[in-house]
Amino acid sequence: MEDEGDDMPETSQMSKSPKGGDGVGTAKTALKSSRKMSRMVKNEKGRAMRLQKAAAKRERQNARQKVRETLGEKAPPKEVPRTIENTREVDATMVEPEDEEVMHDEAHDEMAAYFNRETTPKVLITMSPYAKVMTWKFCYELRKCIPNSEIFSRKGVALKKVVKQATKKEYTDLIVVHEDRKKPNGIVLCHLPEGPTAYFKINSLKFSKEIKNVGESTSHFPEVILNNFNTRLGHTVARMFACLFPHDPKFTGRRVVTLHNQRDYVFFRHHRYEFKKDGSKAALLELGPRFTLRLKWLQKGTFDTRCGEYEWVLKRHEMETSRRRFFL
Amino acid sequence: MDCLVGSANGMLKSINLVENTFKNMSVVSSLVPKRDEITTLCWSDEEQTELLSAQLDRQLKLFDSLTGNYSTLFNAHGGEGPIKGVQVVEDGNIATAVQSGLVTIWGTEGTSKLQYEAGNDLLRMRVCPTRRNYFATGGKENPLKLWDINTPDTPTFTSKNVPPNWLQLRVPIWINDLRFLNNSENVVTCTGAHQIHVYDPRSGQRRPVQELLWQEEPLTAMSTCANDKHVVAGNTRGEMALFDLRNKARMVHKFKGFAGALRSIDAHPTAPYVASCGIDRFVRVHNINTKELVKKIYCKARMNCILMRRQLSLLTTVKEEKPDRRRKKKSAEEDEGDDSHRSDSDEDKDAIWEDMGVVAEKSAAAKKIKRKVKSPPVDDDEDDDDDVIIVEPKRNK
Repeated sequence: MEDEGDDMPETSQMSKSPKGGDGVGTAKTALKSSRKMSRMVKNEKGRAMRLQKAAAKRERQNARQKVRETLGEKAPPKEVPRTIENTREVDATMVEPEDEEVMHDEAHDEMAAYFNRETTPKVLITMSPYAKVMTWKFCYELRKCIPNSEIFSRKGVALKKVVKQATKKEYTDLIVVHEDRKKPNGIVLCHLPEGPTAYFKINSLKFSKEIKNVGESTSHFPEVILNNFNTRLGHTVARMFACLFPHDPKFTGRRVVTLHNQRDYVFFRHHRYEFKKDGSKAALLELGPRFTLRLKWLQKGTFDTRCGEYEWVLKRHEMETSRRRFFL
Repeated sequence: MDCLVGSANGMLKSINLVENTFKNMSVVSSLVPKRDEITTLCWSDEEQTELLSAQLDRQLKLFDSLTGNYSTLFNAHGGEGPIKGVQVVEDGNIATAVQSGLVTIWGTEGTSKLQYEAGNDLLRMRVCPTRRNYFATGGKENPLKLWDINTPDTPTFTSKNVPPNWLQLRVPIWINDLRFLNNSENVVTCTGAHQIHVYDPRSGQRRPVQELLWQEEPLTAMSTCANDKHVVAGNTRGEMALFDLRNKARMVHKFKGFAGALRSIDAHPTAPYVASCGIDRFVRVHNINTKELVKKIYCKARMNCILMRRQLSLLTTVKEEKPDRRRKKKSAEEDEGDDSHRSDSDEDKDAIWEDMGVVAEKSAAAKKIKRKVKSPPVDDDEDDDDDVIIVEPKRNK
């Protein structure tokens, strides 16, 4: 039904309806006008309904609160809302806390050298050949965020050669920022001696300057928080991220890098924190870039998309069929 | 114990398909992956109760499924690189092939009897299942060679590379896996240049008789299956498909459900099941014909090789549910039980068919009536040459 939003419903209605003449009973026109409401009337009605609903909800909550107070411990437990994370499909690869075989596997995988403190991270950051301003900006931000990292421009060298040269110069990790349409849109993260290669797509990227009330970063070694990487694949990816940062964070620097996984999206945040109120709360000051990553494939061995073996590939038609199925 | 899997950290796992569980055959903490990684497996006897496994440090181990004993046999020294093929040849001798190309025949105590030089970068060696003194080798830039055990100097058949491709570039030789086709001496290979080749040593043609290109990723594993003309192959991207090798070699269908590269595929010789494993830590069993994923078992470690037994517990349970649908070869005890089961159901069925006889005739009559209405009556037995004008769509019977 078209809305005219006018003050004279009768005239508009008469101009529209082909049959309705003025002479036909007022009951009919009254009925038609009651059915046809103007937009303002609708808005008001909607607002009234919402206020009613909120009031009813508030009443129910208060009633429940009272019941909880009066009964104390015998009160029925708080209801937990159903979320997609709550109703996640059961994944056989979820890692149990004391799984001997998984621990043995991780103790002997490619990144074990870092966790055994045999190597210190040395990161090489590079980008697509002839990259544009935005990509360079992103690389500068990454260099500020990750200690002991260096940027080299790509100059058209093949990635396999880059990997070889980096291994020779004893780098432990390689980050290649992939560019498309003059903006960074992907990251190839390769752990170097013979380690796994992961390709992530960058979803939303905000530089430090675009963030409101951003702070200045320092050069203290940051603490690394890896949240919610529960499956076996998630464990591997989390270990790859951990390998980028030095072992011993400087707690006095109060700098923290968080990689939080939720529904297969990895959120990268960089903060300085300050504990308030005798340690129960912490105030956060955001530093550095803010971006989201999504894992596209994980390959065993260094970068070799043609002949390398993939440990995990996101196949959209097969894997993205359920809203409650996640892989990290 | 339906399938046995050798994993990259050295663990031998036995998989029960009905209960969807796996059991480790050794203690996890005693393994050192760099030394113990299992590179190949093979059955060491006809009843499939004993298994030979080759480790990265060249130790050959024997697993006895009846006692659960997993013991070391001997160290297959000589040559360089991991063992790429271990098989049992005639008289109980063991043949091992190493990556540097040295193929050795060992007696059961570990004394080497014969040696062959099969060329560098050997990636696979297999023995012909029908003729136990005949084996094939192939690898990277190492063309397919067929050897007779008694002539150690030269292979009886060396294949030739395919002609250069449409850009006049030489196609690399990179044989990743090879199998002898059922009931013949033809060999089918799958290559890293995403080709499947069939060689016929008796045709006089050294080049492959059949070539099939599929996708762009290297094919890493393959298996022959119950049907003589079918072959299952998988690649590094986690795609596995069924191929028909008849005149026009083509892919029949793909199997879904994989996330990572496949390292080994093994199909049951008579039942339509194919088991596969790879580095995404899952063992999957598919039905070859209906391409449905029958079983998917998480095994916690990257897996290198899989072997499926002929006696599957999956088959016996399926047979109990649907006695009239499966006709499988099984051990003697089970056969007797199943025969009696089948005869009972047959008697019941005869009764059912007698009752249904009347109904069937009616429906045929109904069909005839329908036919008259739709088009002039066409007798299906005769050819349709006389009827020139009316073209009927073919009715599938």
